[in-house]
Amino acid sequence: MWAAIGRLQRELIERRKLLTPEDHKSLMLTAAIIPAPKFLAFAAMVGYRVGGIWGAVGSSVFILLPGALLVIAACILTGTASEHPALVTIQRYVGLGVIGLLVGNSVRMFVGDGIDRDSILFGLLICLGIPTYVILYEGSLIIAACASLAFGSLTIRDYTRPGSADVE
Amino acid sequence: MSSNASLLVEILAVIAFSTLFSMGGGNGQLAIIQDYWVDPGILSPALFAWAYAIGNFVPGPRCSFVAGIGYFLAGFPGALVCLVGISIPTVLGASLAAHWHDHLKRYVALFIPASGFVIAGMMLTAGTGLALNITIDPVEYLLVALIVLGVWLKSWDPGVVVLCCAGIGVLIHLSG
Repeated sequence: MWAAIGRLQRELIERRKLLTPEDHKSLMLTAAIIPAPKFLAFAAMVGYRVGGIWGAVGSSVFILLPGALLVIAACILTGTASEHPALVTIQRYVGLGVIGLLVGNSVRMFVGDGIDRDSILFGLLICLGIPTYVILYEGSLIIAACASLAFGSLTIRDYTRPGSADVE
Repeated sequence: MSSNASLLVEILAVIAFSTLFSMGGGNGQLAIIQDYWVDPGILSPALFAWAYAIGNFVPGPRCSFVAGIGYFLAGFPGALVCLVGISIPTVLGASLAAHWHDHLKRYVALFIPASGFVIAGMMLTAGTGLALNITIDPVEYLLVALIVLGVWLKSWDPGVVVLCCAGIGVLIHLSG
């Protein structure tokens, strides 16, 4: 992502002069707080600045399309060989890797750049409460997530966790 | 409404909703996808992990893996609907934020401190749920634990992790 950000920076600020360096920085920060994938949100915000709502639509579609087409192509190719024992073994180990990635990223996200002492109890309650409720009690993930977000917004305040924004 | 059309509507709704849990750059949408389609057995855990793994290799946002999820669920229309589903909340949120940046900032700021913990909990749920859907040997738990430590302490790149795991899979297949 950061390689693409550098290229966008050169293109938008230095070459085309569509944004100032301050605008670029501000949009990057704002993209991290929008409930959407960070890079996609950044592209949509730049598109909005340049061409309004259609600029946002166009930029998000065109930044998503090349990767998505490659994903679909790879899924089609692997789909045709899905019964092959070699692919089944590879998929199994990739699955194990994804489990490690999810749990590892979860720990990274929890720790961030260090946990505030007042927040750790509520954070731990939220972080362990969601899987406990969903897996052990077969509860709804949506309800758990929304309730935790509401609970967290009331109990955890004025604490920025900049490290967490790097996890994508 | 035919069952295919209702599946596409469901995909659109779930993906659009799951996008809201990408706040702060975290991938909370994985947990929603797993909760809706992997746990009930609609999508196999291997294909779910496979689509996510491929998403780490392609250029652009990693969230493009949702196209693979959509393809496995409903073919090309499913992939297209996933892309629309992820774009709608993003475009709306980005446009609102770009337009009313100063007004919205204070409301969004209320949820930001807690969002990291919520997304961490959701990713933990997704990882645990996926592990429960795959039979894992004790030795394989060691591999998972090593990856967890590597990602946490050394910030291992997801693409490298996926590539190494695929390499291990190839070696295991050749040796067995």
